[in-house]
Amino acid sequence: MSDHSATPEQPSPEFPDPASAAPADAGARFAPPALPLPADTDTPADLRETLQRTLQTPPQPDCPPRLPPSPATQPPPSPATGMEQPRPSHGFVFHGEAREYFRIWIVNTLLTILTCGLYSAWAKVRKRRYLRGNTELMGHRFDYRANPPRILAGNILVALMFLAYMVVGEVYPVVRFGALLAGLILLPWVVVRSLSFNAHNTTYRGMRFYSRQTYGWAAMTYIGQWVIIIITLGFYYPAWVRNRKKFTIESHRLGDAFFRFESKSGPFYLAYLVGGAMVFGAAMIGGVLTTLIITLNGGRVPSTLQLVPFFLIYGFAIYSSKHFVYAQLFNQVWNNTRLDEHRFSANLSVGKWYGLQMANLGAMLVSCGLLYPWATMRSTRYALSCLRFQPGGPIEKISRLGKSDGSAFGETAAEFVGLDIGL
Amino acid sequence: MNPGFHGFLFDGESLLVKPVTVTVTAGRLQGHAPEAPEPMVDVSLADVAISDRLASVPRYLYLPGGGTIETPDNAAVDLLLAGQRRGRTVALVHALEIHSRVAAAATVLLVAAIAGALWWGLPALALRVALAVPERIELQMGEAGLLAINRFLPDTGLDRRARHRVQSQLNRLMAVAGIQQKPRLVFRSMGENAANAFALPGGIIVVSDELVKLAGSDDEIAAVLAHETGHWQRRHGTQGVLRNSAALLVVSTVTGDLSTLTTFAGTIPFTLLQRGYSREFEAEADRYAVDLLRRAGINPAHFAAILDKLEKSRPATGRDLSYFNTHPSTRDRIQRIAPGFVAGNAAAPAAKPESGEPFPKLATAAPVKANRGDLEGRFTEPSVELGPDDKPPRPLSRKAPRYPEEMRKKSIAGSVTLEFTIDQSGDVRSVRVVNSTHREFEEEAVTAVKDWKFAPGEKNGRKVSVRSTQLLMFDPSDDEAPQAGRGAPPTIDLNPPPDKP
Repeated sequence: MSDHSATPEQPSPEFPDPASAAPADAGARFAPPALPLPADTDTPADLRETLQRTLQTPPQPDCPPRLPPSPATQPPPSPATGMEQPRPSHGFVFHGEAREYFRIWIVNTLLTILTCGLYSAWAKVRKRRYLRGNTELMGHRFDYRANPPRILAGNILVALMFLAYMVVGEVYPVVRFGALLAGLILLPWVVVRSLSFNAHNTTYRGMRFYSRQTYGWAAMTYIGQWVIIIITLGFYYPAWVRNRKKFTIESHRLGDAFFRFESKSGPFYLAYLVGGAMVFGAAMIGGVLTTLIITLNGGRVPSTLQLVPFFLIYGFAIYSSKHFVYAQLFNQVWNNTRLDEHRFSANLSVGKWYGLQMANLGAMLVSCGLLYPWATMRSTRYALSCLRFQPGGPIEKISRLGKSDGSAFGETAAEFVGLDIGL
Repeated sequence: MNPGFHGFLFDGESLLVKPVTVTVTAGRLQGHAPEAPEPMVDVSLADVAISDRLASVPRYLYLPGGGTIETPDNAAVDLLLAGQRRGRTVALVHALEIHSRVAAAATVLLVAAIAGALWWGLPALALRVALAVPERIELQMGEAGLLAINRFLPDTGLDRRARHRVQSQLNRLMAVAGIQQKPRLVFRSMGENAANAFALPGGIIVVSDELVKLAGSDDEIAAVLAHETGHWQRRHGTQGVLRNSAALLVVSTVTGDLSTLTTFAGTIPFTLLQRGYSREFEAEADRYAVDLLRRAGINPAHFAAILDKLEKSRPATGRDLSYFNTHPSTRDRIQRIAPGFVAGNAAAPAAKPESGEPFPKLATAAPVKANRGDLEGRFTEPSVELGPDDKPPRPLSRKAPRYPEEMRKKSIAGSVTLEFTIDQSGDVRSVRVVNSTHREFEEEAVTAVKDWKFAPGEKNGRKVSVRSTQLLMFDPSDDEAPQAGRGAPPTIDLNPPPDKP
């Protein structure tokens, strides 16, 4: 399961998921709207200052603010309706620090191990709270309120099922097919429940997000459309990614404001086309190189050692194309997402994102994964700095609407099942 | 009570933000708007849930009725909680999270804990569980595996005689090992360059036609069977499944979730771990085989010889990347099995006196007392590793050991395996008993070997000392003394002279 796909546990679409590294913990999620904005201040005191601030947009260092839709594609602003006046634009600000997050990560991971995994639920909540609690929009932070014992219960159940599947499947291979079939049938339920759980536990200004979706549409999106992908030999895949985004995003609401996703499939096809071309090109180069080695070898099969350059090129290309696609889709998805009359805009630079991810990969390899928190912070900070919110009116008008709940089981199951539905 | 702290009140009905000053008086929490006399919030403090301290993330006071107060003033909230004696456990976690030294110590501990769990804890647990798995279940796993194999591997092309030959070797080993329920032998043709054998759980040993053809002698076949028996007896199949699935769980717990495994960086530790486990299994099966072979009176050099042949029969790819191969590098294994084994003489150890000879006398031998645990430790590396072009030591005079009178009277047969160094002048030094069937034979065996004389081994034209092993057999049916009278008495197998008839 790659980063750019909205893994079922992700409450929001394409959020600044720290790419390859951190699908689960990519914390900060949603982006609802409202007040003034402290920009560069990193201390919590900024919240206090917010009090006196006026509605104004500070400049963003990394990404230039995206202008509202150009007059060419939109009807000229009509003073009568007042709909298309230049909107105010608010950047997302991420306050997380690598050192701080590393300390939290390492202590919580160690506690998880020392308690034989029992603490994992608490650790997860703390890590996620750190990510969301450090994401600021219009002067206020996001909050994550999941109840650890519920996550723990889900964890234990899923771990038991997984072990049983591995062991029983070894004895009676038929069981494996049965289990996979059952997993397939459960999948829509798992997706819906985990989206719901995650959204429900994410709040902004004291208001919870909600995710509501029918199992029917989930089954349609995750199973039905896969049949089409297989029939079309994969050519439908980009359209499926787009449909899945639509499914995920449009299931969400904040109070009485609903999320909308209005992108066509074309840009998705373009992104995957370029990404695919990168991999194909690398495979060609790798093939030529291998032929060369075989020739120099006198026709013998090359040894594993001699194939290393080939693997390097190929791995590099896959990694590159993956992040290229991620960056493209990040912009495409957010620029076409609305929350009622409020809009988002994203301007992630492919080059910068790619450089960031290469450095992350190197750091992770060299440190045997110990620099994972550092990589997460970098990715999240950059992605968030490229995301802006453009309210189309006072967001204070967004109000409560009914109640709903999510169970922890769905979410954890989704993280396991996530392995199978990625491709 | 206290001067109060600033925050923002959200009523939960809309996204409206109201600045408040929060005060706590007599167990009640009140929130005042600036300059307003009447509190907007007035609730019992006991009913307010307060979010845990986490770095400098703002705190939330969850009010009964759905309202929330957000405040950046962590210090004030901590003070409030301390006065209430609430949230102490979490305060402890926070205390651990803010110190760099704790983080450094945690890093060290974490690495040690993970390494320990993966290398010792998990395998030990897997072994226990594997031993507890009923044989019936094991056999079903094996049958399932066989079913899968049958689809890819055609039936054997070996004739009955050849199959019988292998079966009789297996019977011989099982008699020595005292295993009642013999494993099932399955022959399959695996195609060119595929001399191979493997054990499925529940005691199914699959042997390829090519392996049987490759083996130079029955003893070599016995060696392979002994190795596979080791895999089966130690339940490596079941252990492997358990270890790998448990390791998957551990790795995913640490990294956060399973999808990490699909990323490049996440796969590396897991793959290395699997390789390491299978290396460990191979080494254990090797030790089991060496032990069993000795008890059956077969020189482990035969094992080394067949391994060497197997290695050479395979296409030459990546031989030296030992950690990336499932099996440990064959050279390492050979040296461990038969120190001093010279690859170039692979065929030689098929020493005539013992090959093909039935071993009734050893079949009933008392349990070998060799301590399996330190068996490997005793097999010191050869002081010098001889290459194919070097000269191994050549025996000049070998006196047979005296047959202990008491044992002869009782007509007890037996054998002793010794390990010793042949130094640069050809003398025997540092003799050690590797194992023996009867303690009574050991002294005589050692005494005899100490008097042997060799032409020293040579490496690159220089005389070197070589570590070697020697099996001495005591057979009361031979008349005069032990086998002194025979042309080639106790077999010297390990570094046989190349020109030996």
